[in-house]
Amino acid sequence: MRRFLARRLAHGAAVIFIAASLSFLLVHLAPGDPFSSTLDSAAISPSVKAAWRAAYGLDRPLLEQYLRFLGQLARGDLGPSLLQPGPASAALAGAVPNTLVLMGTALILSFVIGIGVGSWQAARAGSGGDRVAGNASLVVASLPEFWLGAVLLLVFALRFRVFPAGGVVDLVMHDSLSPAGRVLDRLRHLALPSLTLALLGSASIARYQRAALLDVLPQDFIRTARAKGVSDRLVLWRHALRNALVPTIVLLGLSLPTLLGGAVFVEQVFSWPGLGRLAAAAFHARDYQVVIGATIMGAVLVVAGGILADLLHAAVDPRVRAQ
Amino acid sequence: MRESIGPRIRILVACALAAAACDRGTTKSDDASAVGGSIIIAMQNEPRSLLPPLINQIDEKVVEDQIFEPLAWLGDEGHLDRDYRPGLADSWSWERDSTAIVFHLNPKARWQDGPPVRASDVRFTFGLYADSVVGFKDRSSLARIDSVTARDSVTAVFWFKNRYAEQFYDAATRLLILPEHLLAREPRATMLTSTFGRQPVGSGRFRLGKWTPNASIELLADTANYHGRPNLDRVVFAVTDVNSLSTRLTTGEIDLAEVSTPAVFRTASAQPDLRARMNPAYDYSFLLFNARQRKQRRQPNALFADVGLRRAISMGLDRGKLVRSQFDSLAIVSTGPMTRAQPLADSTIRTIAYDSAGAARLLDSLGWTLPAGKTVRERRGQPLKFSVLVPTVSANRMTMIVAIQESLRKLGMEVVVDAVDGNTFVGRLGARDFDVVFDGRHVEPSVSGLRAFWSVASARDANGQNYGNYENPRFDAHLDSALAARDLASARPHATQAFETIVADVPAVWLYETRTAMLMHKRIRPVHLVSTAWWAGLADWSIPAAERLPRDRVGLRVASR
Amino acid sequence: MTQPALLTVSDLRTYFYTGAGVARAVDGVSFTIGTGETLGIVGESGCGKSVTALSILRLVQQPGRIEPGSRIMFENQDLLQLDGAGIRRVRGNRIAMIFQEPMTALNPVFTVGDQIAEVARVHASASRRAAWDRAVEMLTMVGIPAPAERANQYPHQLSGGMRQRVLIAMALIMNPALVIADEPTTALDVTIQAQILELLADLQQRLGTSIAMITHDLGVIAEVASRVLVMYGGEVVEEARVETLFTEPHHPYTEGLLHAMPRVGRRQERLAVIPGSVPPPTAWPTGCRFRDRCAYAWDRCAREHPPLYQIGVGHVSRCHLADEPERRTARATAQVSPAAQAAVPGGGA
Repeated sequence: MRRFLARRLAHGAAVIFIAASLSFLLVHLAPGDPFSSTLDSAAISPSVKAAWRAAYGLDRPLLEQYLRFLGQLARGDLGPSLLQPGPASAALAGAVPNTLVLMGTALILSFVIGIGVGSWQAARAGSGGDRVAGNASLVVASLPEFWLGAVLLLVFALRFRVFPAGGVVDLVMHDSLSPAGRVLDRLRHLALPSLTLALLGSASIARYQRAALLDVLPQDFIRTARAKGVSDRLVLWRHALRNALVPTIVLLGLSLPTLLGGAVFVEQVFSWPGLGRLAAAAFHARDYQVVIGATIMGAVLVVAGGILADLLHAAVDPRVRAQ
Repeated sequence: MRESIGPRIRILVACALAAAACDRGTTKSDDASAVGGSIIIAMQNEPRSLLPPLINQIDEKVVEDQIFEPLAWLGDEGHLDRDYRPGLADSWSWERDSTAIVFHLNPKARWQDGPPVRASDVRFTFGLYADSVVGFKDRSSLARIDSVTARDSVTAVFWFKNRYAEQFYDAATRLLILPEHLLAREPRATMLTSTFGRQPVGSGRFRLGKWTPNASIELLADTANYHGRPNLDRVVFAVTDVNSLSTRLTTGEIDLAEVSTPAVFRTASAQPDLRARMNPAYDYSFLLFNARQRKQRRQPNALFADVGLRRAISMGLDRGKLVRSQFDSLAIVSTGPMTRAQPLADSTIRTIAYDSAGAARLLDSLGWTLPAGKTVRERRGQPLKFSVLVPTVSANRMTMIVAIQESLRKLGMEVVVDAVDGNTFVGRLGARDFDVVFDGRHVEPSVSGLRAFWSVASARDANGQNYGNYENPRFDAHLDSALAARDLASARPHATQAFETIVADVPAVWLYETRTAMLMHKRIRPVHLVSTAWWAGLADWSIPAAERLPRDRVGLRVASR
Repeated sequence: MTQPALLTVSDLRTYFYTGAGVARAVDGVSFTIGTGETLGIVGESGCGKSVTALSILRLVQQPGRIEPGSRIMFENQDLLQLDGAGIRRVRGNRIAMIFQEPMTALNPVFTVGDQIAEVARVHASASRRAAWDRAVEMLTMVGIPAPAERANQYPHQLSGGMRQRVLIAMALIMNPALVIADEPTTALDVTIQAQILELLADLQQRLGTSIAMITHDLGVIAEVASRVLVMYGGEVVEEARVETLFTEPHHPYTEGLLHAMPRVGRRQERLAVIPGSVPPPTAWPTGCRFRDRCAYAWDRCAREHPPLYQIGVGHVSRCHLADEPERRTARATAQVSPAAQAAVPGGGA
C-alpha cells in the first residue's frame, strides 16, 4: 500500500508539472498580455506598456521566462500576481478554501443524495417510483449548472427567502455574530451553491448506484443474507450497498474534475469567491501567475481525487486492499 | 458588461446639492440619529487596485472618490467653468494672466494615517499622474499643465502652458490627491502591483476597512476626518454577477446597484422596497467605417472611402426600432460622437433618417445593383460584402449586430460578423485592421476627448485613437474653436458646427447611447444624487432610525479582524 | 417413520410467471422430515429440488410465487402464513440453509467472522462481542484451524473447503432444528467433499439437527441420508428408505440415476447417462413427465398422469409400472424402446 501510494504521488507530481507547464505555455500564447487585457488600454501608449512588460520581465524570451518560472515553482513560489498586489499564491490562498468547502460539501451531498436515491430505486426496480426517479435524474443530469443554479436561486432565495442568494457570509452582520451564529451564517450561504453542484452530480451517481445495486442484488451472498434472517432493509443497506459502493466510489475520484468544472459556473451564479471565479477573472485579465496557479490547484485537486478514490476503494473492498 | 469602450473614467459631472452637504454647516449635524447604517452596493467588476491614476472602470471611481479627494468637486449643474465646491482645497484664486491657479488647502486636512496633507503632496500627485510610465489613461488632458509648485505647506500652484476653457476642471478634478509619504518610494513602472493599491490611504471621509478579494470591499466611516464623520457607518461593495443581481436586489442582500440590463431593471424596479432612477447616458456605440484599407493608411478603402455607401448603410438601419427592441428604456438613439448628457451636445443636429427605399435607390445610383436571381448587390462583378469586427465581451453589441446583419441583408448586403475576444479586438482596433468595427466610447462632460478620437493628427499618428482614419480639417477647426472658448455659451456654436460637420461626413453609423438605471433600497435617504456621479455625496447619505435593518444597527464595532 | 414429523410440506406448488409462460418449477410436492432425520432430495438440475428448498424459507424471488393451497408446517405453524418478521425469525434460526456456491455465497466485503456473528446478532440480539466469540467458537467446531485469526479474514483469503465450513458454521450457529443443505459439496474436490460430509454427519449427531440434503449425487445420498426423495419435473417421483432405493429402485428415472452413478471399485469405461434432458418447466408433457426419456413408456404414460403408487412400507413411486409390472420384464427382452430412441435427438441440452 505504501509503495502504491508513493507511486501514485510521483505520478501525480508529474501530472501537476505537465499541467503547470502547459498552462504556462497556453496562457503566454493566448492573444494579449496582462497590460492589453482591458479594452480601454488602447489609451496607454505602446512604449508605456513595453516599460511595464520589461518591469515584470515579460519582455524576455519565453524559454527564459519558463525557466525562471520553473525555478520559482521549485521553491514553491508562483511569483507575483501581475494585476493585484502581493504574490499570486496569496490570491489563490484566499480562493482555494472557499472552493474546497463548496466542492467538499457538494461531493458529500451528491454522494449521499445519489446513493440514497439510486438505492431507493434499486430496491423497487421497475416500479412507478423507480421510473419517476430515473427520469428525474436523467433530466437533472442534463441541466446546465448555471440554469439549475438560477432556478434554485429563484425558488429558495427569491420566492421563499430561505437562503441568501450569494456570497460566503453576510457582508455586514457576519463579524458581529456569535460563534454559533457565524457557523450558521456560513452554512446558510453554502446551502444553495453546494446543493446546485450536488444535485447535478447526484443525478449521475444515482443512476450509477442503481445499476450497481441491481448487479449485486441477484448475487448469491444476498440470498445467503436473507436466508440468515437479515431484514430486507439491512440486506439492502448493509450487504448489497457495501458491494455496490465499490464502483460508485471509483466514480468519486473521477467526478472531481467535473465537479471543479461545475464549480466555475456555480461560483459565478452565487458570487462565490472561489478558485473558479478567480481563474476566470485572472484569465480574462491575463494575470499569468494566477492562471497558472489556479491550473496547478485544479490539477492537484484532480490528482488528489484519483488517490482519494483509490484509498476509498481499498477501504470498501478488502480484495483491493490485499494488492 | 457595461457598455463602453474607450476611456472609462466617468468624471464627476457635478455634486449639485452636495455643495450644501459638504458645506461644513450641515455635515456636522448634532443630530445623532442621522449617524449609523450600513449599505451594500453591487460591484460588477472588482478593481485590481485602488490607486487612482490607474483607474480602469467606473466601479473603481465610486470607491476611490470615497477614500480620496480632489482639490475641488464639480458643481451640481456640471458646469465646467463655474460653481465648483471645495474639496481638499477650501479656496482658490487665479493669477492675473490666467496661466496659473493657486489652491489653498484646508489647513486641518489630514491623511487617514495621521500626517497633515501638504502642498507637496499635490505637487507629487501631479508628477505621478503626468508620468507616462504610471499609465494614467487621460494623461493627455494634463498636457497643458506645465507644472505644479508648492508655495508653502498649504498652497499649491498649477502653472499652465496657455489659457483655455477647461483649465480649472483639469487641475481641480482630474487628480485625486495622494500621500507622498506612502508612495514616494514606490517604483513607477510597477505601480499596478503596489501594495498601496490594496491598502489605500487618502483624505476622504471613508477609509478602507476590509478587502476580501473576489467578494467585497468594505469602507468604514473615518471618524476622525477633518470634514466630520460620514452619516453611514459602513459601505460595502459586493462583487456580484449580473445574473444574480436582480435576485440579490430583491432579497435585500444588495441595497443599491447600477443596472444596465433591461430584464434586471424590469424585475428589480417592480420591487416595493426599491426605488429606481435613470442615470444620464455617457456611453455611445456606433458602426465605425475604416476610410482606409486595412492596416494600410496610404490607400483609401475600396468600399468605405465612398460617403454614398456609408450614407446608404446608415439610411438602411431603423435605429429607433433596433434600440427600442433591444434596450427598452436603457438606451436612446445616438445622434453623433457625443451623448445628450454632455453640456455641449446638440440634440437638434439633423441626422440621417431611416429610409430603406431611399437607401436602395442610393445604392442603385452608386452602381451597386442587384443582379437578377441574386440576393447580394454587385458592382462590376464585385459583391457588396464586408465583415464587421465585434468584441464578444459586449453582449449588447453581439446581440445588435445580428439584427443589423438582417436589416442589411434585406438591402442586398452581405455582412459577416467577425466576433473576437477583447484582447484581439483591442489589438485589431489599434492596428486599424478592419473594414467596419462595432465600437463604443465612454465620454466625459467635456468634449475635449473628441480630439483624440476624430482629429486629423490622431488619424495620422500610428498610435492615435482615430481608428477609422476620419480626416476633416474643418471639423478640427470647429472643435479647436469650441475648446478654446472661455465659457460654454461661446463654445456652443463652434461645437454645433463641429458636430454637424462630422455627422454629415458619416464616418460611422451612430447607433445608441446606453444609460444605466440606479436601484436603491427605500430606507436609504440619498442626497446630492447628481447626474453621473450619484456617489458624490455618499458620505452624507443617511438612514432614518425608524427604518433601520439589523445590518444598520451593527455599528462601527470592528469584530475579529 | 419412527420420529415425529418436524417439517411437513403438502402440495407445495411454486410457479414462475415469466414472459415465456408459467414455469411450474415445483408442482405439488409433499413430504415430511422427522426430527434428527436426514432426508435426501435427489434429481437432475431443473427438476425443482432447489426451488423446493428455497420455497421452504420463502426465499423464492420474483417472478416466482408459492401458489395458494400449498402448506409448509414447521413446529406447529404454517411458514407460508407468517408475516415478514415471523419468517425472518425462522430463517437462519430454526431452519438454516447451506448453499452450494462457497465462492459466491459469502459476502466479499465482510470478514467471515462478521458474517457468522451477524446471525447471532440478528436472532439472539447478542452483543457484538458475544456474537463474535460465538462465531469463533463455531469456526472451531467446524474444524477451522486458528479460528480467531480466520474470523478476521475475508472470504477471498480462504480456500473453497474452508469457505464451505464457514457456511456450515453460519448455518449451525443458532442450533437450528432443520438444516437445508443445497448441494453443499458440489463445488469441492473429492477429499474435501468427504470431509465436509463427515463434518455434517458428525455435527448432526452431536446437535440432533434434521437435515434436508439436496444433491444430484446419489453417492452423497448413500453416505448421509436415511430416506430419499427423488424429484423429476417438479414432482416427487419416488420416495424410499435409502437402502430400499439402492437395492430395489422402482421408478425408471431412479434406475437411470443409479446407472449413471460412478461406483468406487467398479471400473467403467463410460458413465451410463439417461438419454435426453429435463423438459422446460413451462411445458411439462401430459401424462408422465418422464415418458419421453423412459425406456418402458407405453401409450398409457402419455394419456394418464401417474399417481404415487404405494410400492412397500415407506416406498412410493409415480410410475404406471406399479400397476402393470409385467411391462418391465417385457422391456428387458425387447431391448431398446422406439420412444427412447426418438427422444435422444430431440432432447439435447
